[in-house]
Amino acid sequence: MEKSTLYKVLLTIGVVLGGGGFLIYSSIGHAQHYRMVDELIGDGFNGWTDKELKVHGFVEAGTIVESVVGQVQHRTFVLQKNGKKIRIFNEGPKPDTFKDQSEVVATGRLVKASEVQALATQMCATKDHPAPVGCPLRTDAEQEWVLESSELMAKCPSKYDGAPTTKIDTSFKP
Amino acid sequence: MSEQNVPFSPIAVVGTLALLAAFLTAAWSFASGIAGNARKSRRLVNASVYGLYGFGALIGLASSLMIYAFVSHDFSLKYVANASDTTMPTIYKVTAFWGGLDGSLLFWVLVLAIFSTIAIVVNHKRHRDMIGYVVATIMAVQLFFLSLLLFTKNPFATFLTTPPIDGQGLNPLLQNYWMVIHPPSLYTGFVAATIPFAFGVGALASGRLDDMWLGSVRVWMLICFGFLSLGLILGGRWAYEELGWGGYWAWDPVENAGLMPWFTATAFLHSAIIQEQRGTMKTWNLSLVIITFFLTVFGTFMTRSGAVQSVHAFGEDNVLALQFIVFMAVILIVSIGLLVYRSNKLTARTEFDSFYSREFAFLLNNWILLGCAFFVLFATMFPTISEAINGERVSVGPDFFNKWMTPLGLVLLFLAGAAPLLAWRKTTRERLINQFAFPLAAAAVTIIVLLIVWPQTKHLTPMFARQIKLPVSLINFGLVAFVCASIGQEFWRGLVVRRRQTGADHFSSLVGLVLAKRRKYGGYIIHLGVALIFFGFAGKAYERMYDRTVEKPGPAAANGTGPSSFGIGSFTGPFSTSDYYFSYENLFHTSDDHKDAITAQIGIYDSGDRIGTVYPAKWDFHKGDGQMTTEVAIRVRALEDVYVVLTGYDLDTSLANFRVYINPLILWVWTGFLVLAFGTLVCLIPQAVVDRMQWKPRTRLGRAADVGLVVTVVLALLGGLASQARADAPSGAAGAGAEHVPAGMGMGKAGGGYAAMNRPANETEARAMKEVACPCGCARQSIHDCDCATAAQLRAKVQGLLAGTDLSNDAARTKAYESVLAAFTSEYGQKVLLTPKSDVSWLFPSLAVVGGLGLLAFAGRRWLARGNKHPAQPVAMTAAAQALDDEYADKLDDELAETD
Repeated sequence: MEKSTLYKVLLTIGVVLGGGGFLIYSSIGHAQHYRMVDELIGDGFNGWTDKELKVHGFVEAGTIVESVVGQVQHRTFVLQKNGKKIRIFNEGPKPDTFKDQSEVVATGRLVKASEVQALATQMCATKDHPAPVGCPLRTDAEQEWVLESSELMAKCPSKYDGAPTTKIDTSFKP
Repeated sequence: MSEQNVPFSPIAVVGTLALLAAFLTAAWSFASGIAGNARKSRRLVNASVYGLYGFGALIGLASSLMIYAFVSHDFSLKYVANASDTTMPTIYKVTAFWGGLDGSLLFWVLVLAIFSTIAIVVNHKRHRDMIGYVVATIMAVQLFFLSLLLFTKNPFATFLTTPPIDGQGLNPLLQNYWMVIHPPSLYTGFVAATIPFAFGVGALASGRLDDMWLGSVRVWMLICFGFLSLGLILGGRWAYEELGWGGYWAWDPVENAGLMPWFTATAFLHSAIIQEQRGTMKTWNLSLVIITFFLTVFGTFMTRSGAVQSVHAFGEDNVLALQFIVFMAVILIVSIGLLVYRSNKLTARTEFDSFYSREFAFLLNNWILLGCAFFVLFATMFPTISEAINGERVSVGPDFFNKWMTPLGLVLLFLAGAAPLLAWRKTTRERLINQFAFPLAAAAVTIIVLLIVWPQTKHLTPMFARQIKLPVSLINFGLVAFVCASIGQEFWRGLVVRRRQTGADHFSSLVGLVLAKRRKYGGYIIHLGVALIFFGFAGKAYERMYDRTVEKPGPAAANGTGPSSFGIGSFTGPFSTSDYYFSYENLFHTSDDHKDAITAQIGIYDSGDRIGTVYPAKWDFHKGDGQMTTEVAIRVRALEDVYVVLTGYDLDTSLANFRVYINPLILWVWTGFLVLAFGTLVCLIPQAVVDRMQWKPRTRLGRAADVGLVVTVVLALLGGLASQARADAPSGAAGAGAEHVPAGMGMGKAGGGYAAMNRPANETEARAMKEVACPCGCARQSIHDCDCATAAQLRAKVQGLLAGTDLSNDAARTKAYESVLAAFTSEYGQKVLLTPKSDVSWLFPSLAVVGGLGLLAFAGRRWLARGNKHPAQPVAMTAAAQALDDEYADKLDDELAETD
């Protein structure tokens, strides 16, 4: 191999390795750890309290509580998978496909349940109208930690998914 | 029905047989193509070509059957039952063909069949010694997708027992104008990348590695680039209008799947010019066509396999994932193997002479584009890579993407302006100063003015790493000015030379210049579009979000304040300062056969002046299974969008919660794309069209035909783009994309239901009702024709306004009619009228594109004809000006001679 070609190859390898290494270094601090609900609960929250998490699960039916507190729309719900559960707090607009039993990925950080009890109480506070379904909320009685979510992603409607049909041709004889 | 009570569908039988026949034809065509070129047998090569044509016919048959199955509600086909129902509008039934996984694969095969037929018809005589390999490559790709269709994802599969009497329909979020055209745009872009790949493999296999194959594929890569750009921008537009989070790009894996091949296609379009000009970058070009095709397949694999987690992820299918992995491995092994095998034939004709050359700028541009593609690939696959290494899925968010892509994008933006200023081979110092002086001055002036007038633009943003911070916004605006000045300078100098050569006026010279050098100046227009897009991107740093709750609606004062109003304080964007107030005026609940709608009426005021009324809403489709859709309301302004979302409400108390986004400069993202699209179209104008413009039609019929063709094209484009622009404007209560409820759909005919309420009692009432658009979003029907409850209420309002007025003569009736329209426009704005009187600003972008094309055609003919009639009349100049002029004219002539 000619010297100039060798230099080019070595330079290219050096740039690729150096660039790749710098790329990996720069990703530190941006990592979002992805856990299913049952995996997170199974780990016992240890080691996750100071990390940004993406928690994936299904909204437990009947647990969505939404209320305007101050100027902001707040919501809380329970995310579950395989019987393991964690409560999520989130504010602002929700994804259109967010509802009972929808598949959701909540991005955020773990906070002590006692820290959000005041908010939970405010969400259930009745003034001139009945309390939302799911109230009263006792977050500190459920678990030690809850997830304060900055972003909710619910599964986009896929043209490839289909719900079970309920319309049967009853005139059709077997 | 058969005796075994298994539903029998002729469509399913014939469709499946058509796919089987197509599979066999493709296999034959593949084999004969390879054998034909290997043995230099013209008969076998011709057989493979005819096999490709036959394949296309069979796929056309299968696709037609599929569309027919949707339109005729053949729910014995599982695919039809899953993706449609009897109440869906016909347009969504037709587009459901490509809406599901199975159908999208068939759509892919269909588009590739069409493209490959065109490509082979045009090229098979020119490339006889490699066309067999080209056909074989295309057929290999088709065989892969057909094998998926036949053995795992057959769209003609039927239910084995009882079929449903009605389908499941399409999710309401997907029943939207943008979702109709976004997927096929992206698919078309993906498929178009197959043709250059096939020609590249053909060139490698045959050893024909001169520049001939390049000329045949450049147009296809341009088509790939154009459709990928369209698909990406449409996806962003859909997200912006439909999802309610105020943004248009989130670095989601499915978004990235379309972006990665866009980078490499762009790189190819640049390095192809270098190979044609200088004979270098042959390996680059072959590698880029391979990588672009590979990334299109990889993107498809990502979205269908479950390899990455995404809210867009269309499903998880391990078997499909394995099939794609094997296919991608074959692509890489065969392509790289051929590349290595022919490496000795890929030596450059010339070497680089200087860093201050256009070649080096293009090379740097390509490295960065390739780097962008691989960075996005790496960051998208980060969770899969981390799981493979340490068993844990770790992803990176938009901040990480922006930290890297922002500076890389700014470098690309600089090169978009700098490369056109550099000469081929080497730019002398004098030329460097002469070319760069004005653009650099424009950038410097822009930066200085911004520092003085809008100092918030010097805000520091991290790039690459947290420790590296730069005033990204300021640099961005400066570079936009640099690019615009550079492109403007290039046009001006070319225009001046052309004028001297032809003696034509400015406009004709400009059009003639563009038509004569479509690739060059079309490319400059694309660069201009990119600069405008970056101008729009710059506004992202200034966007603001506000949450507000209002207890109950009510009227506002003339300046927008009041107990039901809320302000957001003074908002300062990069080029504007506004003082917005929002008056919450009404919350109404309407319903029709398809949905319930909760709509808020919000008046928007800026510094005390009412600038519009918007209707953010929530829709609850009856078939949506409890899923509501967010209908955002957007007030578009030149320097910022006011974006209002109804986030929560209480129907009993009329309490409502709103989220307001102020998005500066976002209009320029869409405008920049229109300019980019126009430039792409200019690049695609065939030489035959330009030649045709030079012919003077000898007969009146010929002239009339020419004029008629131009007018037809202009009107068709205008209509298409205008309907798109009309869908953009919030049309009252429900925004764009609402479904039309035809008469009789649960509302009864005109004789019953809401349709029968408050019918016009006289001609004036009827006339006024026919002019006012129903705000329920029913495809812009008037309140006279719409059958919903809102229309009935508004008809009553018209009757109330006309009650007691004088209608005894024509003048009085006209006055009464005008007063009704005035009352509606003062409350709802001009957009409530079906015939808007003065606000056509929404049409400007469409008019600009279409008008530009029409004028280009008209003036091009005029210039070419005048150029023939009037020889050049040189004007006396100073010696220095003459020298510069001659030098530039020589440069122009050199480029004219050597390119395109």
